[in-house]
Amino acid sequence: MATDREIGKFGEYISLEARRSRLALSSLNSSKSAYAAVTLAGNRFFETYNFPAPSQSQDNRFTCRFYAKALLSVFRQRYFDSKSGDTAIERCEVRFVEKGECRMLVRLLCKNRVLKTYRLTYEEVDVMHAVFDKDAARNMWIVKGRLLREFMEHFAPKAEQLDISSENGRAAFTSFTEKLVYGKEILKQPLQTSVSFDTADFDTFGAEDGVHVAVSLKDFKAIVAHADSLHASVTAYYSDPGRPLQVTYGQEGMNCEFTLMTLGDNRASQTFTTTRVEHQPPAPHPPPRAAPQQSQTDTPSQPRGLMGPPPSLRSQFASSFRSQRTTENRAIQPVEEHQSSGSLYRSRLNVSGTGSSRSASAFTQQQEPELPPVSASAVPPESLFLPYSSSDEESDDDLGKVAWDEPFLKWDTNLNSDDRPRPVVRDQSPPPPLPRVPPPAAPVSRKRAFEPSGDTTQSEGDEEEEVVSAETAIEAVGPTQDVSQARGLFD
Amino acid sequence: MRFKTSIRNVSTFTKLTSCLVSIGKIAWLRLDEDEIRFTLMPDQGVQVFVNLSIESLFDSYIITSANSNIINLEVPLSPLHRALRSCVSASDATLRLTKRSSDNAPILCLTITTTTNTLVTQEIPVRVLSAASVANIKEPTCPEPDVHIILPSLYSLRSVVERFNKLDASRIAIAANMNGEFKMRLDGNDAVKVESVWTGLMNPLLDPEQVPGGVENHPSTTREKSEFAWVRVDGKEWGRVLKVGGISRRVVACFCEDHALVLYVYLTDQEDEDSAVLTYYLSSFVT
Repeated sequence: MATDREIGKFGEYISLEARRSRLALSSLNSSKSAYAAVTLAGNRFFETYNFPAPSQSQDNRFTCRFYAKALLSVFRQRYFDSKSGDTAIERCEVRFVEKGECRMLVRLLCKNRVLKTYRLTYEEVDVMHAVFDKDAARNMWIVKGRLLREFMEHFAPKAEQLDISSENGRAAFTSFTEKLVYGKEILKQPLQTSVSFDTADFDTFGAEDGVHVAVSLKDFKAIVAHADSLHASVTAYYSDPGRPLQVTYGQEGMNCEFTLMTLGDNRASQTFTTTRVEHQPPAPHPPPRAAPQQSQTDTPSQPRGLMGPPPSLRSQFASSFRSQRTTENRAIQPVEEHQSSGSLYRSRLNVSGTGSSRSASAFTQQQEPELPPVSASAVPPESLFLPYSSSDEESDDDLGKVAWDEPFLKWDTNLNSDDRPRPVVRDQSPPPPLPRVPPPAAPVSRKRAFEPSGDTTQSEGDEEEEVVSAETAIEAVGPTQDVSQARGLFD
Repeated sequence: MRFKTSIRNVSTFTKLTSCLVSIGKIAWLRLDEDEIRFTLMPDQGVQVFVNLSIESLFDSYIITSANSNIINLEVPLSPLHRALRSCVSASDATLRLTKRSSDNAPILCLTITTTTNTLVTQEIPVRVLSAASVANIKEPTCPEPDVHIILPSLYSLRSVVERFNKLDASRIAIAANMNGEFKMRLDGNDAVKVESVWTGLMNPLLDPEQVPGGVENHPSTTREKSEFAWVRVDGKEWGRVLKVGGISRRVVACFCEDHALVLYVYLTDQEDEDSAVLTYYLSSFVT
């Protein structure tokens, strides 16, 4: 139960993915800079765990998501209740009702034969996972959660960022806040705290001297608090600022994995851009392999697929439009010219998942006949996002031009799928945005406002990067009400 | 301008800041070669003046400045208090005035070495004040008190005040006389009447040298012994003031009838009591 709460601190939605032998919960925060996933082993974490699979060799998947507040409201209070005597929970049963209802049934069997039943609405969507390449992470350390928790107590609650570094056998955690203040306001700045300690206090320490990465202090604190509550040791992997950092820990059938985007400083962003130019020249043409998989006649052409960010990213891009143009230029021009233009920036994780094959889902057969034709047609096969929010429809398409110019975390819905090779994606950045190409003759349905988003991983047949194998179009929303539409219930 | 010291008495310092933080957000800290002064003068409400000898908090104290070795700082109390809380397991704590490396902003830098050899650095943003800007800050002047009395344990007072505030969080009328009696009453609520009375308290003797007109002419001497002098204060504020019970050894309350209540809070024992004094000024509401 505590796990739910930790995840709930990150994102608005909690996704759930059930398989024969394990259950995974995950969440992505609204600014796409932090991703949390918890895997619960079916046989170790649960007393009984039953997920129907057609055979031993085949593995089904069932994926859905919940509005986080709703899911938490069921479990949060129960967690505290369980500590008090009268209504302590003795058993918790969770069951899924499929038949056209999309309800999750939670039964809590408490002391004194009290039975509490909750019915939660869920939305069947594909789950996306952050892809983190451990091989590329040069820096790694393992430390007791307890120790980190003690360190975190020194930090002021309002401080925003946490810089992690090491030098000469001492590791340092330093908090800082980016907001600029003047005059009397200066006294309202949060405390700036630094905790430095011997790297011998780590269980394992293998990080380069002088590498500074910064993550959100609030996220890190939440992670550390949870790790400590499990009495677990925390493992961190990272490479450079502006690239993601991964924190993992686990205990008794529960594996927690957090991927946080790190903050790059001025200097780091420049080196980053340079690398990107070298590694990833603009890829104006779509990979030919994606084309045959287009099943809908009115799907937008492939080049459009490269242009825009997904609708859910637009608002963020809108606010940072200017600065991104600057970085965009920097990608093309010599880096040195822009030395003064760089500033601290927060990168976002990239989502490059694809609609996973619904045929692998146990629920596909029921859904397909009910699909609204318009949504299917509006979704290009290589689309990265699910059309889940009605508010997306009002997004301004013009902002789609500004895209993909920050470091990304890659996403993959098929990461855990057993029937395909595990994709290996270096966390390098995608091609810069293309100039907007006029839409092809085929009419593009705007009903779903599904801006094809950049296929960030295509690089002309590079096998290593084959994350986005364009598959069947995402079958939009399940036969139920969107969770997002039902939000008013919990606000 | 240079200021560096090691903190000798972390626990007192932390308790002190915790009392102050409940009164105001920002304090004026005046440091010179002899004493440490904290002054809180919020726009409204309680004013607090703290005078401490260097030895009561610090050790290895170094101060130099162009203004005859006086440094005036504006210090945010909440970060200061939070920083000091990191000192719990400290084997050594050093406080110094310096500039932040990133933007040259002045900071009070608290460096703590813990027993486990962890180094914690807390940077408290401060503002350096000019001598001119603090020249006009003075303690308020009050008439000679009508009644002065040593208060009972602030802890017991506070628990009573908290009950009053739960009933009706408005004003509390406080009174004392020269006969060792002290009372508090919930004020301004006609529906409920609650009053607590303490008796057998001590009225300290006046020091003849400190009384200009002579003790025999002092209002507290000329007054009828059993006559109470009343002041009315905000209940919540009074509750916050009483938090100082955590560090006080002795509290003398001076009542200027219908005008003000002045508390002298002594942090040390009687023989050395001028080395650490907190003075609280509470204005009385008019009836």
